[in-house]
Amino acid sequence: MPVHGLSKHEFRTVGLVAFYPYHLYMRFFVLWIFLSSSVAMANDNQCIFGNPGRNKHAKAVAGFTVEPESFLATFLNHKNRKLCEPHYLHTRNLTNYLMSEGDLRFRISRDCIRESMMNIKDITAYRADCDNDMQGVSSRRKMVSGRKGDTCLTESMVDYVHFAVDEATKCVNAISEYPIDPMILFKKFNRESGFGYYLQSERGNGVGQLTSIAMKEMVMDKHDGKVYRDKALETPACRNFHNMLSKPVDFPKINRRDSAGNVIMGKDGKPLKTQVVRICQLVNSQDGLARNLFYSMALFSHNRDTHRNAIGKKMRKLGIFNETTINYMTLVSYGRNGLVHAEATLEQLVDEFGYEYLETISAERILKKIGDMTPKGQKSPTLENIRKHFGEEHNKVLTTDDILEYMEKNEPRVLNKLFQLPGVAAIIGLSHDEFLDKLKSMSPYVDEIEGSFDSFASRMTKNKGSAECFKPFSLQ
Amino acid sequence: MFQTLFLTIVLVLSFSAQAQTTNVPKSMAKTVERATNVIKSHDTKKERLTSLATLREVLTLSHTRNLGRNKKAYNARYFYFILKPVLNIKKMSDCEDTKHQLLYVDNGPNKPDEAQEVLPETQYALDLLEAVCN
Repeated sequence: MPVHGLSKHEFRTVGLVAFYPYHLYMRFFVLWIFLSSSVAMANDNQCIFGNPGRNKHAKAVAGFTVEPESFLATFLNHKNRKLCEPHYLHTRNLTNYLMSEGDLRFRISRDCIRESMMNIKDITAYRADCDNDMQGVSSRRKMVSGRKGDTCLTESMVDYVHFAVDEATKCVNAISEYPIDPMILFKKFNRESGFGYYLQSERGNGVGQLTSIAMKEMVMDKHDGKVYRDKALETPACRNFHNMLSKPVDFPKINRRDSAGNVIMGKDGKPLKTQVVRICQLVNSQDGLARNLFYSMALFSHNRDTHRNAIGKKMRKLGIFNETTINYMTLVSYGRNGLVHAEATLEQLVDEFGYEYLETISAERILKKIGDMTPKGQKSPTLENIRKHFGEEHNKVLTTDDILEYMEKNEPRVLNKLFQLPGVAAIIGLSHDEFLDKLKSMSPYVDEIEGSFDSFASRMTKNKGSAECFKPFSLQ
Repeated sequence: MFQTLFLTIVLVLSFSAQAQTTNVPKSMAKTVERATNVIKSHDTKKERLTSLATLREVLTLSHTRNLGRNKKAYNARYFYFILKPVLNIKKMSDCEDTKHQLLYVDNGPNKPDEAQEVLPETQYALDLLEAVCN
């Protein structure tokens, strides 16, 4: 008799009742887990539009071809650990701007990115095929014609873009003096590429349609924009971009061409060369999306705050501090000679409200204005005093900028008085809609971008019931 | 007779269409062209910079008088702001960076990466830059 007091037959019966169903359930359970995860994976990686045969980007994002230490590897790591949702937005003065700038508390929702990406099929551009070469060194590209032949878009790709947009927003906000506005950026990306990070056209490359000269401004040592990359490499909020930013951006030399596509020859009979950015470094699935988003957003910030013609800098100097107004004016700076158009538009707007823009007034006239405003009994600055302030270098020509600089240092109160003139006050007093209407009538780009957003919003409302694209960041 | 008239009309129309797209005010463009030629004719850097300073004063003054809300005033402002980086050159070491800035600002949609062609208004600024710096 065995120790447990059961006969051999009884033991077998008890064993069958007690253990057999357990094994059976375990098998079913394991099978169920396997099938459900496979179905979930299959759903995530199924084409929501496009040709299933054109699935190189989809495969890469599904994890079939992942380069170690790439941004894609970081995304997959986060996705597997379900960490795709960032819990906070890094800014220097988070509390201040949450209190003062309501519009900037938002992040772009996944639904809106998805809806925008569903429209990629209507965008005329090359579908760059770069994923055979994971470093993005290859520049092969394929033109896809017609909707049926478009690149396969999957839910995983939407997740990837959403994650990258969140991370880039978080990073660029942390390194910029003023936060960037996701709503403005959404409108820009929606218009330019529909978040199609693999698109390449004559207008530019990838999600932000970056061009070679813009990349040179942001990457090369001798130019001002490089400060963003340097800051990002030292900022914890940008840690997911550190690997990508550490990799060099390549600018190969190619033949110069005219607008008809003909090679331009030099005086010596040899083709003239020019340096252009390696396209695949901005459009591939590994680091291309992250690189493109980071530099596109940093470029926006650069054009607004740090470039020598930065429009935001000029507006703040005039006393216009509304971030939404400044961001919209920065939008004017896109397009050819955009920064100059923005400057001229600002001046035209100020003038329209009856005020002479300070930087255009001749040195003599601005001095007269200052003299008029100086209280009786006080000395107003003279040309001689200002020349002395700058020393020998400025003996010949004195510009308005010089006078403003002198006033900023020596007579800030008079300068403030000068800024509070009717034209600027009128711009500050305009409602957002009034300002936007005015701007749309002056800038074709802003008009286009708003038009694209309107048609997006009507599609979104039709499909989802509303076009709520901007969700608040959680402070937890 | 009819053919000549037709050709004249076509030429006038094409010229006016071009004039609308280039955004370059004729009088300012002429002034800049003349100044470019004068600067080119100078032998020394000092002379070139002095002539550039004169041009800067002339354009700043005309820009101040060009205030207004119409398209013409806008074009004059726009052209002045394009020229401004060149006008502000104070020493020869600024040349390379100024060229990059002109090309950076000229950058934008419908300009293929490998194309060197810039907008006509930017070309005026580049010609002036070349006259000052070479």
